[in-house]
Order: sequence, then C-alpha cells, then structure tokens
Amino acid sequence: MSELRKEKITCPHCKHEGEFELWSSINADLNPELKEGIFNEKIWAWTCPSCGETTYIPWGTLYHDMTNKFLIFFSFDSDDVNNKYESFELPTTFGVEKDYTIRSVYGLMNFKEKIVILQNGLNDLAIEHMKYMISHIIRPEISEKGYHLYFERLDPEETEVSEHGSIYFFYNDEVAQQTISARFALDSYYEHCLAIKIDPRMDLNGNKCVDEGWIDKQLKLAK
Amino acid sequence: MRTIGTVGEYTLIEDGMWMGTIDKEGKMHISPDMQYRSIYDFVDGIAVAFQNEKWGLIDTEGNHISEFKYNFVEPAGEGYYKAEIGAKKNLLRRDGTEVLSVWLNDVYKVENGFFQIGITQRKTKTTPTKYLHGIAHVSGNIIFPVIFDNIQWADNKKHDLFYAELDGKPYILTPDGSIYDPDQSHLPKKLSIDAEGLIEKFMNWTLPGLQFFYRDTDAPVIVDTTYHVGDIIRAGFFIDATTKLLKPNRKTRFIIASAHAAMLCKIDDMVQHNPDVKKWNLCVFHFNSYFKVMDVYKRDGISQVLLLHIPKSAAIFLGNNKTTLNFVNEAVGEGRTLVEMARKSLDEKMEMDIHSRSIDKTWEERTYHPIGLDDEFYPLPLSPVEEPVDEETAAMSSFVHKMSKDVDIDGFIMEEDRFPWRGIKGHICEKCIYAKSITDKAEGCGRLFQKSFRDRYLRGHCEYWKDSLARVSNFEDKKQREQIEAKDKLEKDSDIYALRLLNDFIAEKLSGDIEKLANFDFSKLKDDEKFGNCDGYAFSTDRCRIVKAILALCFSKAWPELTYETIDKHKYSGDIINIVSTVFGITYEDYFKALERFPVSDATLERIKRFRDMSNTIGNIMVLPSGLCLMRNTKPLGRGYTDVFLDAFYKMMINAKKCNMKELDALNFKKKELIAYRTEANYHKTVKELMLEDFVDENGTPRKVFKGIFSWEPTVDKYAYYEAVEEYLTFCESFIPRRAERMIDKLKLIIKNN
Repeated sequence: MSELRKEKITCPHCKHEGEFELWSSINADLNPELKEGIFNEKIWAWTCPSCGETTYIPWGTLYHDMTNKFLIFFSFDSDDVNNKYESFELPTTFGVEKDYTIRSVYGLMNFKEKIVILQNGLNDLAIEHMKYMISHIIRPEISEKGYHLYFERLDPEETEVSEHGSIYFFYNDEVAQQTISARFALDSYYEHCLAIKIDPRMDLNGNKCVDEGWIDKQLKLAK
Repeated sequence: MRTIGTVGEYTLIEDGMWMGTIDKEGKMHISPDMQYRSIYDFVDGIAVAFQNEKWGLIDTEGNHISEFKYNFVEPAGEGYYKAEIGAKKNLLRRDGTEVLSVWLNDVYKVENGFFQIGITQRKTKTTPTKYLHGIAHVSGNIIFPVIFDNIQWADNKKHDLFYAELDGKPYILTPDGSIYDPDQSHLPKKLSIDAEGLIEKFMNWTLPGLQFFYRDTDAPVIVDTTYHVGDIIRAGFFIDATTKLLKPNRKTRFIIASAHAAMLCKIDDMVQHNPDVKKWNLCVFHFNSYFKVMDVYKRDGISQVLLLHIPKSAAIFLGNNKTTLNFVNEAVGEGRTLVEMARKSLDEKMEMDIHSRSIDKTWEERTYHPIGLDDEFYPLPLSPVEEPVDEETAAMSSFVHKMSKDVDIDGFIMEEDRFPWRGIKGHICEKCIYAKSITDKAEGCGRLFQKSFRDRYLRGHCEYWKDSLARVSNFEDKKQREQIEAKDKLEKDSDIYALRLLNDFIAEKLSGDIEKLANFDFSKLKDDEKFGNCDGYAFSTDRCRIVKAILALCFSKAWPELTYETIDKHKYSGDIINIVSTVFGITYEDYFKALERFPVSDATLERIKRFRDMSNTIGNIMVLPSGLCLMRNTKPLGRGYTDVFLDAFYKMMINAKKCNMKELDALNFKKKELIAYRTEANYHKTVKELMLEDFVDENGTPRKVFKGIFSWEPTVDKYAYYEAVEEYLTFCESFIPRRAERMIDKLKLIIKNN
C-alpha cells in the first residue's frame, strides 16, 4: 500500500509555514491517482495556502506496480551519483516475489520512462541496449549533441514496417526546439532481446540501475 | 646526409642512423636531430615513426601525436592505426588516443567503422585453446562481446551484416548491436487455432447437461431490431432464470439453452435461507456469460428469443461458424433440432395456464431487464468486464462461477515456431540419405534432433551428410580417426606400442638378433617410414620412432611419467650424450671443421670416424626433459659436455647455492611434481636409470671427465686439443658399447616379461 508522510514546509515566497504530503511509497494499483500525479508531476507540487504560489519539492519514493510486477526505487538526484551500479539485494523481509523486476532510477524523466517501459511488459535492459545503439552507433549525433533518447511507446498494430508492430523513441532537439520521434520495427527490439541474452556483459549481477551509463560501462568490456 | 626516398609529398633523408624529411623547396620539416630511425608514409599529415626503440604517430613536423610506447604501429584502415604492446593490440585514432579501453590479442582492419577483435583463450585441463571473436566500433564500444567461434562479413561487398557462430549455432549480427537468429526463435511465437480441438471442447462444454431456462419480460425492447439470429451477446449482469414457466404473460420470452447455469434452487442452505429461491426454481448466469441468438420465434404476439449459452472462447473464435452451430442445433437429440424444440415448447405452453411464479411481483422485477442490453437497451460491449472488487459482488461472482462450472475452454491455441524451412532442394540436406525423415515442420531428420538439425540446415554445412550408406560422412571419418588416435595414445601411454615397434625392429632390421642393436647406426633410418619417421619433424636420430620406443622402454623409471606418449608430446626428448661437434666442430660426412685447424693422423681420423658412427647408436642416446635438451648447448650446461651438464643438474637437484634456476623452468614439471622430484635421492636415481655412472664418482656426485675445451677457442693450442681428442675418444670407445650392452640386457628382460 502507499505510505504517506507529512512534512513541515516554509513557503519560499511568503514564509508561511505549511504542511506538505510526501508519499514515501506509491502503489500504482491501489492509488492510480498517485501514478497520474507522477506523470503530471503534481505530487511534487505544493501550493501555499497563504500566497497561492506553487513550489516543487523533490523527494524520492518507492514505486510499486503489482499488476506488472515491478518495483522502482526512485531518486530525484541527477545521474552523477556514486556507486549507483553496485549490486544490492532486497532483504527477504521485503517479501518481494522472485519474478519481480526491481530497479533503481535516478532523475524524473528516467523514472517516468522506466514506468512506461515496464508497464508495457518490455525488457528494460533490451530497451536501454537498443537506445544506446541508436544514439551512439546508428545516429551518433544524438549523443554527440548531448541529447537523451527516451522510449515513447509501443504500437503492435502499426505494421507498416513489420508484421510485429512498431516501437517509438523520442528525443528533444534543443536547438530546433522540437521533439523528434523515431520509429523502428518491433523486430529490432526482439533482436536486442536476443543480443542481451547472448551477451555475458549484460548480466546484471545484482545491479538494479539499468541506464545508458551502465550500458556504456559494460560495452567497454571484452566479454 | 643523403636522400633515400619519399614519404607522401616529402623527401626522406638519412643522416647516419637518423631520418628526416624535406619538402619540394628543400625546407627541412623533420630534422635527423629528432632521432627518428624510421618514418613511414604520411597519410593526411600523419605518419608512423620509430624513435627510441618504440613506435608511435607523428605529424609532418615530427611532433608526437601519440605516445611513443608501442612495439609496432601500422595503418588499420579508415584513418585508424593498429598498435601493439607485447602480444596485445589496440587501435589508435588520428589524434593518437586509444580506441579500446581493453587490449586484446587480435585487432583487425576497420571497415565501415567496425573491426573484428579476438582473444586467445588458453587451454585448460578440460578445454582446448580457443580463439574467440567479437566486433568493436571506432567509438570504443565493443558492440558484440568476444565470445563467438568465428565472425565474418555476411556479404563481402555490402558489409552490412556479420555472420557468426556461437557453440556451433549460426547468428546474424547487425551493426545496430542486435542479433538475428536465423531460425527466428527470438521472435514471438505464431499463434494458431487448433480448430478440431476447439470444436470438440466447445461441444463438450455446451452439450452435456443442456436444458432450457426461462425468463419473461415486458420491457420495451424491440426484439426484431435488437436480437438477430447469429448474434453473440454478453449477459452484462447476473441473469436470473427459472427452470420452468408455462404460458407467457409478458410479450418477450427468453429461453436459454445451457449446461452451465448456477442452480441456486438446488442448494439446501440457500433455499432454507430464502424460500423464494425454491419458489422460483432460481438459476443464475454470470454477467460475463455469452449467448448465441439461435432463433427468434413469434406466436400470438409473443416473441421468444432462443439463446444458446456458449463459452467465451467459442464466442470469439466460433461466433460466425455456422457449421459448428448448426451441428449443435442438430446434435441435441430426440429427432428434433434445438430450435424446433424451443418452438415446440412455446407452442405447447401457449395452450397451458400461466405459472404462478409468472405473476410474482418480485420475480417480475428481477427478470425485467432484457438480456445483453444496457440501461438504454443498447447491446453491451462483448469484451468481458473485470471481476468485481467489492466484497459482496466478488463473492457472488465467484459463487456463480463455481456453481455453474462455466470456466472457459482452453488448450486449443497452438504456438508455431518461425523456423524458415524452405525444403531440401538447394539446401545442405539435398541428396542426403537422412533427408527422407524430415517433416514439414523441420523437427529433425533421420540422423539429428530438431536443434542440431536446424543449426546445420541454416549453417549450410553438415558433418553427417552422406548420399549413400557406403559413404563415410565427415562425422564418421572424424570419429574413426579419433578412435584410432585414442587407441594409439593408450598404447603409447603403456608399453604396448613401444614394445611392438621394438619387436618389429628386431625382426625386420636386426634379423631377429637383439644383440645387433648395440652397433646399429640410427642415422641410417632417415628414409625409413616405419622406424625412422619423426612424425612431422625433420629427421634426427634422437627423434625417430624406434629410438623413442627404446628410450621409453629402457628409461621409464628415470623421469616422472616417461612414456612413448610423453616423448611424442615433447615433454621429454631423446638426446645424444657425447656429441661429435662438441670436440670436432661442424661435421659433414667425412669433414670435421676442427681438423682444419688441428690436423690429425690417419689413424686418429679413422678413430674419429668410428666415433661419429658410434655416436648415433643406442649406447650414446639418453632421454631428458625437452627443456633441458634445449639448454645443453648453453655455456652453463657445458655446450655438449655431459659431465658439465650433470654437475649443473646435480646442483639444481640438491638446491645448491649457485644452481642454475633456468634448469627448473626447463624441467617444465608441475609445481607439486617438481617439489616431489627435486631431491638428491632422485638425482642418484636418474643418473643410475639413465646409466650415466661413468660421469660420477664413487659417491655418485658428478666428476670432471673432460677438459672441456673447444677447438674454436683462440687460446687452445694443438697440444691441449690433441690431448682432449684422445681423452674424448678413449672415454666414448669404452662408454658407448658398455652402456649399449646394459640397455640391451634391460630390453631383453622387458621383452621376456611381456
């Protein structure tokens, strides 16, 4: 179940002292409105009852999706976190079933993306592998410009490029100030699934943070 | 300073050891003072150069672009350079930075930004040496790990895909980092319906226990436009019905043919709790029940809608299958169709009175809403609604499912694999005798199970292929060779092989007289395929098979694990004890180099020739660990003098202060084996077993036998040399025949005991 904590807050605008609701744990099945709050970012917003100004308060949370069987430890911290790829195992007292996917995610956009990937039933490691190859090998200008590629959506019905459907990614072109979407055959995703299955470097070995940085680190190894 | 060629647009000049460059105008760009020993061609302003014993990259002015720490640097294509440090390799970019963060055994040419890399995986006790391959990109990423047995461009012209094999299974590697499995196992399985199975399950679900249930209503529904024969509808709410009604007192009657109603009226507890249940003979259908409209029948202002209760899967997969539904219609028995029976029911009941429950107000209210319609009387969506979460409804839902046993049918959706089977014509299986057993689904052939079969079909080569029973397939050929090799090894590990060879040799070359072995000059076996064969090496007496056999038999206790097999595998080697060239210099036929400087009398020359012939006889050959054989020609080990060699060997064995530690490595024993072997007792044992007692004193410690001079040493005068010759010949003329005799005695004993 979701867990709520109340924290005191002083409005940075009018110095009014108020109370802010902080969800240390979110259950997406029992509280779908909180999941919506993640995507519209309202759960991090606090509106001062005195002056009406809205303040954003970053806090991490544990996100639990029972239907799709995944847990995400989310931290607002940016990517330059030490030891984020270190192995860790949840204590058995956590009572998580073996077939659960457990991840730690840093950064809000990555958090939202990870939820979308996992609730689509996709293999997030294959997606990260595919994204890395697209943005570093096929279209290296994406990473050279410092842009980040995100998973957008899956469309199994869109069979123009493949009988299995299509998969979409996007990145924000900050120069052109537009969002660029890229469509790939879903076959390619399945081929990346096979690539990570065969590649011994893609064994997580207890690491829970699957992101571009981890893929980059692993691809420097020979085997 | 002189001109020695051109490098790109520059002229290469040389000043003593150092090179430099000048341009067309004669202006010097790289001065020989920069001390480059080599400068290769400039390509786009960069050249490979050699300075201070290391290679690196320079610009046209001689400035270092890369570090100068490499053993070699050479162009690797597309502006990259291959650099080596020891046995490891990497690529350098044009700015001198290293592409890979790991150094590998092999780095190949760059093509389209990709290059093959390799690792040599050394053999272990259980695995042979393996050469593994992977693919890297000039970005520094190793796109495909170094795990593949082999990798090559799938198309040498296009260079857009790689063909690779991993554990014998073929894969296509795509430069986007993905891997395609030619048998398409990575793609989701194709789903197909087992129609026969579905129909059978459908019949078994629908027919056994089929009976009619009734429900009348006066709801303002226009039956003609709402219920069409053939339509599928979903109940939408818990449907109350009764097992019996008589004449309808409402304008619409639903008659439901079902074998899956929840018969609440038959549950005593329920009846006791609510007597109406019995009064109504109440039965309930789940809100996610599906019905097929089988008939709409009108008589005397009454519309009767016949609904057939069907499982959800049938609603989806058989909804429009008229044949199946007609079959159900006709299969109910009693010589009438289901539709006829329903119509007859209404016809008969129109003649009857109204049943008391038809005028029950509560019942009327409970059965008012038309089946499958929403509050506005529009058809409800067919997709089932989720099971309720509120406790009361959830309990009811679960109860109705349980009572009605209306769980959906399953097990008729088949998964098909996507293996691209294209028949045998034009493929590896063509003309193969095992191809006759291949099924349409490529599940295997007459020789192989599915996986092995498919791997070979896709790879395009199969070691089992044979077009007739008489032909030996590559697999069979390999197996036969392995069996022969295994038998051979077994025999060589034991004395069987050596003994058989020796017996053959005595019979064929010594006329059955083993005593003749003492004077047999093994150098005469040079062209003898059976006994003189050196198994791929150039002929030498100490390598030929019969010598190896004699050494293995005679000296098996001299060294750990000494057998024909270990000599064959070069752990040990035969070695001449007293070497002709040690004293007489380079020898060729009757020419002895040392005698040019120190001529000898004819009589002495004859003695020397006799010794030369004797030197290749059994009495002058011993066996040593191969590393020690190689070391015997070095100065610390006497350059051929066996007394010096034994002295060094003794010091090593007793761990003397000044012992030559290189001998330890030369033994090439495993650590534990070496510790166990390296004792003084083992030294004595080895000397005794090798029959080298002439080189030791009464205590068994090495003694100085020879003066140890060499004819090429400038300080040696003729008197000292002649003395050394006499000493050497005298020793050998005595030592070799006596040792041969001892060896023959030992061999005789071995032959006798076997």
